[in-house]
Amino acid sequence: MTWSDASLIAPILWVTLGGVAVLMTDAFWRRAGTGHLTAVSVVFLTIAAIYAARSDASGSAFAGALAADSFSAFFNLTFIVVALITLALGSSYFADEEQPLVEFFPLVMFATVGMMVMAAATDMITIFLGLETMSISLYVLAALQRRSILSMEAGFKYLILGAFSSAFLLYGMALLYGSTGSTHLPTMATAIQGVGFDRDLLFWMGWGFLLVGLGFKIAMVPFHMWTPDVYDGSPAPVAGFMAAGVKAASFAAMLRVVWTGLPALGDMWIDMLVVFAVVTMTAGNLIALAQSNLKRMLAYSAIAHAGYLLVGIVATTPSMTDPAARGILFYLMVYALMNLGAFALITLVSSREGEKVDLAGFAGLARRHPVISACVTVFMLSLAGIPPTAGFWGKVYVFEAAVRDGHTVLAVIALLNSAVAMFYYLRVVVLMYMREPEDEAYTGLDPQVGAAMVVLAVALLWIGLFPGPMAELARQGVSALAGSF
Amino acid sequence: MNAYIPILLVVSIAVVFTLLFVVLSRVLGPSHRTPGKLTAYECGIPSRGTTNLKFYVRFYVVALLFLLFDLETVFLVPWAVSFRSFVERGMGGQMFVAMLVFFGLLVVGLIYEWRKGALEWE
Amino acid sequence: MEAVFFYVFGTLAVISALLTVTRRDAVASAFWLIFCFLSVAALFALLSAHFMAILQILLYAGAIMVFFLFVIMFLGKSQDRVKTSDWRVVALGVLSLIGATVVLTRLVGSTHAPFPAVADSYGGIEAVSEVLLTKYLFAFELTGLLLTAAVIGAVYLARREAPGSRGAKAPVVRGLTSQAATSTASSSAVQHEDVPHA
Repeated sequence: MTWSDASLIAPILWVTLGGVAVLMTDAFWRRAGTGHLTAVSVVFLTIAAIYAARSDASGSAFAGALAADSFSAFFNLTFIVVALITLALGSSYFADEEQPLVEFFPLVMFATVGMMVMAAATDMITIFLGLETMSISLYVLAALQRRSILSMEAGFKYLILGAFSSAFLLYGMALLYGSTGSTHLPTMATAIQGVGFDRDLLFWMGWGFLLVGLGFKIAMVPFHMWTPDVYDGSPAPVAGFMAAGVKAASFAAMLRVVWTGLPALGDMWIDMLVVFAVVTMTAGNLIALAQSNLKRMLAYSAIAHAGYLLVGIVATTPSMTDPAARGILFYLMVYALMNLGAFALITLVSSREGEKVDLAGFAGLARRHPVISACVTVFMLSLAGIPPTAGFWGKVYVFEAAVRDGHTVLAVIALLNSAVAMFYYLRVVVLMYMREPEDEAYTGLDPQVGAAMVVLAVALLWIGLFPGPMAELARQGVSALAGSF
Repeated sequence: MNAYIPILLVVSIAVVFTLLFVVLSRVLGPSHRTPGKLTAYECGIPSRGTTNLKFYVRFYVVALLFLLFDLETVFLVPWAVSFRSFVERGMGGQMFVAMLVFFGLLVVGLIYEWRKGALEWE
Repeated sequence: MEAVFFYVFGTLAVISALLTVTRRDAVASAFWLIFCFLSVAALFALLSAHFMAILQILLYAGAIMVFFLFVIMFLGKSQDRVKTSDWRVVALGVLSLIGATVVLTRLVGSTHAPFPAVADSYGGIEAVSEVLLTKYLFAFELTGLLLTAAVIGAVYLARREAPGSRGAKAPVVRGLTSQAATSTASSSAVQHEDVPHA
């Protein structure tokens, strides 16, 4: 380990240090409340963010285990933002006077480290360890409310199915290693280019298992079964963290594998991916229509969005073009923000109302809390992909790329899906504005969560009105990978 | 291959003698199959209820922590074996820091357990 | 000579694995599993993968089996014996065995992986530490973090709650309203839970 290696991954190290610092604060300062722990975490995350934003150094660190480039810098920033907002949501949610759930803080930090490692990894072993670091922290986070049977069920279900999918992932990696002779993605790429691999069963089984493993994490149909139960049972801030962070991290790892490790795959697997994309978004949207519980609705919406993102991957394969690839990164960032917003609403409601997140419960929210309702409207419009919001541009970039790549039918199906999705997103808005409020609904709301929602809504509107800077950031992010082959 | 012969010897001695004693005691020992002789405890008070007691959950924590720290010990072994060779190649400081970081993370976990009372039996 | 030992330990591993899954007593199964792990460790040693052999004994036959046994004890031995003679299960097992054999042999034959011959010391402890501490140093350090996160989780989840704390929230049971369209997901999960009792 040399100093230059360490300085290349400075953001990851700072978040790790932050996790350790929070853990030690909690261990030695008995009276530390969630406020103190949030402060410590925020300090370290901010330092990490500064390092991530200022990083102009690029290169490969730790003998090719990970790469510090604009791609990892983009995702580092994404994950730090996600973690900051999650902490803002959790700091009051878990602040019980008698026994605050302080484990939330170090586990969020460690999970963030895992996500950052996944986005930076250029070696399959590093990807796997990053994924496991993230997952193990999240298994515990899902089960954080030990008094709630739902939360325990969520943690248990996530653990069992997650371990199962990790086994698939690991077996896939082992088979790919057996077929290419390396776990280092660029080395694999050259090994594949050298030989005809189209009849190599070992390679294809490895790739298939790898796809199953990652497909589980991104909630790709048919590996999505866990999503609604886990999102529903997890504490609201954790569910938001899962929806935003895990998806972005798994897609980041997938993009690295596809673009850096297996570019020579070409369009040989694209038909399969098209099927997955269509099934994922259609199933997600149709089942979401029937949901009366907001958390489950968002879970199915998360599945649908995984389908849209798969459209983006289809569009960038086999030849990666800047606009298409840019679209996925843009979409992932925006998706993270709007989902955090939606789960912030659940945090707001469920921390005061027990576990009640029934859709009907939002009736008339606008009367009592016009600002919050305006924010929720922005999130829902953005999730639906309606113009003045950032979600619109995410969809435009991805679908346009698909059309340009010759996948017109796929793009049309995706558009039809978006139209279906509009119904269930806008239903929330309609309920808030057009119905009479229930008697004693939402008297007091947490100011910290409210502030986070306002920030998120403003950011989504801002990106929606001026998508240029964010798109440029995303373009820079993918330029690192575009140069690699 | 020859390096394994001592191990093989030990294993065979263990297997042979174990089997030998089991068989010998069966063959030579007197056998009185009376109900009294067949109870678990020939002397003392008769056993009551089932012996399938449920263990306390604390054992589970101990076993889990043992598993985790055992894993860590296993990682220490290759480091210790090769440390001299690394020092001779001028990489000693680097390897020392590497193990310090690994160990530091584990000590953090240990301190956490200790402060949270996971090591207390109560 | 090596081939003889390979077949001896391979047969022992297979037999003990079969005994593991056919024993009705969970503790007996666990002990046969230890035997299986030891045979596999011997196979690793035959491949001169000494580090893997040590790992197999220390971690699997040692720590993980201790953990298994504690869990078995913790749950208490089941009084009603598990029924294992369902012909469908056996048929499924045999079918997947045949399938796996076919696929694995095809797999091994299908690749043209560029694997060079390795030196005699390959797989020894020095060889492992040589790559573990240089090429895979980051993975090594990250493992430390992973274990720390696991320790936190284990301690948190298994901790007994302090008396009188967080008494406000009663356990919440899932309402019936959310089940409408997701019955497939839930019912499959329920079936999952039923398997050990079946």
